[in-house]
Order: sequence, then C-alpha cells, then structure tokens
Amino acid sequence: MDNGTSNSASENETITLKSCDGIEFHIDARIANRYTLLNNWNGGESACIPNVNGKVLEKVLEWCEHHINDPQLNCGDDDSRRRNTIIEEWDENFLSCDQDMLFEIILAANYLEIKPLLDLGCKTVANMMKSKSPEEIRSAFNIDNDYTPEEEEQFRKENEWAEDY
Amino acid sequence: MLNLPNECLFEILNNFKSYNNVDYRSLFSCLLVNRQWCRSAIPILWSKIEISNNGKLIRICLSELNTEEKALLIPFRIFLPNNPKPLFEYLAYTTDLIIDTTYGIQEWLCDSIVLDPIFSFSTQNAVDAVGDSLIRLFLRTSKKLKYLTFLSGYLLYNPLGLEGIQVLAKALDKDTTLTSLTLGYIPISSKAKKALAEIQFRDYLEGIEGSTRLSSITIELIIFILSKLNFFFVNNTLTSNYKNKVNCGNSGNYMKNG
Repeated sequence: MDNGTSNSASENETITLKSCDGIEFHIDARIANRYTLLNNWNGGESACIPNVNGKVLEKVLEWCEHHINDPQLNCGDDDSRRRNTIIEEWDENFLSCDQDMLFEIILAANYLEIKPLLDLGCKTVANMMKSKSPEEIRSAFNIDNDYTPEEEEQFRKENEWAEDY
Repeated sequence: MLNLPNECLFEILNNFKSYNNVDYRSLFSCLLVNRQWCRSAIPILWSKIEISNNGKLIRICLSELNTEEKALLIPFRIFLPNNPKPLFEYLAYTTDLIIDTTYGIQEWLCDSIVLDPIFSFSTQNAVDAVGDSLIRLFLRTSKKLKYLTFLSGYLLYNPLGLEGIQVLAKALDKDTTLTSLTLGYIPISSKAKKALAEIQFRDYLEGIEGSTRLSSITIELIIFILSKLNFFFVNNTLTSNYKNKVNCGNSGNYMKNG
C-alpha cells in the first residue's frame, strides 16, 4: 500500500474510475495515490474497478473523499489501528446503512485495500455482535447454523470456560 | 448475510481483542454461530489465556496432557477423566500465557473427583505437580508462545523447582518464540535459594544469554537471587546483556538490595 510518501498528485488533478457495472466517477487523484484501490490505475486518466459495483463504489469514494486529509497510519501496525476504538460521528452515520451495504463496503474495502475503512466496517459489525448469544447473532445476520448438534455441544463444552470471564 | 471471506471475518472478530483485553464471552458466542465463524474465532479466543481461577479452562488444558506429563500426577493419585480428544489443538494458538497456580488449580482439585479420597497427600504438592504438568504441556504445544508470565506459585514450594527451572531454560533456548518472560511475586525460601545457587542456575542463565530472540525480560526471581546471593558472575552477564531491557516491575527493592 502506498503510504503517501510519493503523493505527487495535486489538488486539481482528477481521474476517472469505472465500476464493474460501467458507472464512471471523477475523483481527486490524491485519493488514487493514497489507497491502492487503484491497483489497476497505471498513471493514466482512468481506471476500471472490477468486483465493485457503482452503488458501493460511490459509498467507498464518499468515505475516501471525506478522509482525504487524515494522517496516514502505518498500516503494518495492527495494534495501533485496533487501539483506536472510538468511531467518529461522521463515520457512524456513514455506516448507518442497511446491513447488505455494510458488508458490501467491508468487502470492497478489503478488495481495494483501504485499511482504515475495512477497520471501521469490521469494528461496526463487531459492535453489533457484542454481548449477543449465538442464536441472536445468527438471527441478526441471517446466518445458517451448519453444526451437527453433537459438534456444537462439544465446541460448547471445550470453550465454555470463556463464559466465566 | 453476504458470504464474507475468512480474512474479513477474522478482522471483524479480532475487534474483540485489544492489546490489554479479550472479550472472551463475545468470542465464545461467535464460535458457536457456525463452522466458518468457529475457525476464525478460536485462534483469537485462545491467543491469550490465564491459568488461574478458571476450573473449566484448567480441565480442557489438562485433557491435552501426554503420557509423560500425566505421569507427573500419578504420585498424587490424580486421575484425569477420559475426555474425548479436543476438536482443535487449541493451545497451538496461544501466544500470551499467564499462569497463577496459587488459585484455580487447588479449587479444581478440590471440586473435581479426580483425587483418590483415601490417599493422603499434600495439597500444595499436588497443586505444584498439576502446575508443573501444565507448564510442560504449554512449552510443548504452544508453538507461538511469545509472552509467558508466572504470577506466583509454581516455584514457590515446588519440590520440582529445579527441574522446573530447567524446563524453562529449555524453553529459552535459541529456538524459542518467547520475547517476554515474567516471573512475579515469588518469595524464595532459603532451601530454594540454596538450590538455585547450584550449577543448574548458572546453566539457566547461560540459556538466557544464548537466546538472541528475547527482546525484553522481566525476571524478578533472578534479580532477587542475584541480589541475595551476590552472584557477581551471572550478575555481570545479565547486566551487560539486558541492562536496558529488564523491566524491573515490582522488583525495585530487590535491585536496591543488590
């Protein structure tokens, strides 16, 4: 990932991004320099982003634009990223979308290697799961239980110590 | 829910672990959601464990003992129940281990029916034997162990103390993954002091000296011994190698004594 050490794009430069469903976005070139999202951008004036549709790309780019002047963290330092447990109000509102969109954003941030947005999305989902029972989590996120009853019981027994904390 | 790849799920669940805290209850819920969640949650859940007053954790750890480790319990007539083999090699994921044998093990011994009721034994010796077997287990199975902390007990009254030190020394050889060893709150009896002054203790320190990967060492026990026994040979070695790296913790008084 580019840590911004060679952020050569100026404020007025723009590039065009095209989503997998053909929607074009004109964005500040500094965003492209900042995140490797633009893996496919080879310095030209346009880039195609496969795997991310226009609706999701629009949200991702909205986040990138809002955070364009944020200081860049050392992405290798997982601990320093995780220690920042507070979610800013703007980000909280930004991710107050429907659940499918939230997961689409996480997937896109992962694919485009936008670590701060990935962290933010993951933190938001984790907060939604906190203190919930397995049944509540399955129900909240519409997840199928593929355990056999015997398996589930054995995992429960082997890890029930964790309930005593 | 969309099918999240494992790496994203791991990132989500990793939020339940911060540098000083693990939300064990939430991780426990998550591992019971389904198989994919289980595979992501277990390495995080087991990454940091504390052997203290949690009998259930002690029970599951003891079910991983091998024959040699179980043999340590035979003199105390401690018979472990025949549990099925655990579904995961949980301890392989442990990077941060805290052992406090004063509590927990004794409670577990008294609560469980593993003891032969007609056999007369010293509870403390039995506790130490369980602690000893657990330490051997962790050093054998926790291949990613980085932070090892003994809060009390193990070397306190343990008749196997010297052997325990040798086990530790072995763990501190150049192949160790350990980067931090903390021995805290361990009062030393005169018997133990005498024993530690024997050659084995020098070997132990040489073992530490040869370990190039240890980045920080909190060894209150050693500092205590050095100060009390005026062990200048080893003191010089320790000072020259680790002066700036030793975290004195609560051992400040011991340092002054030296």
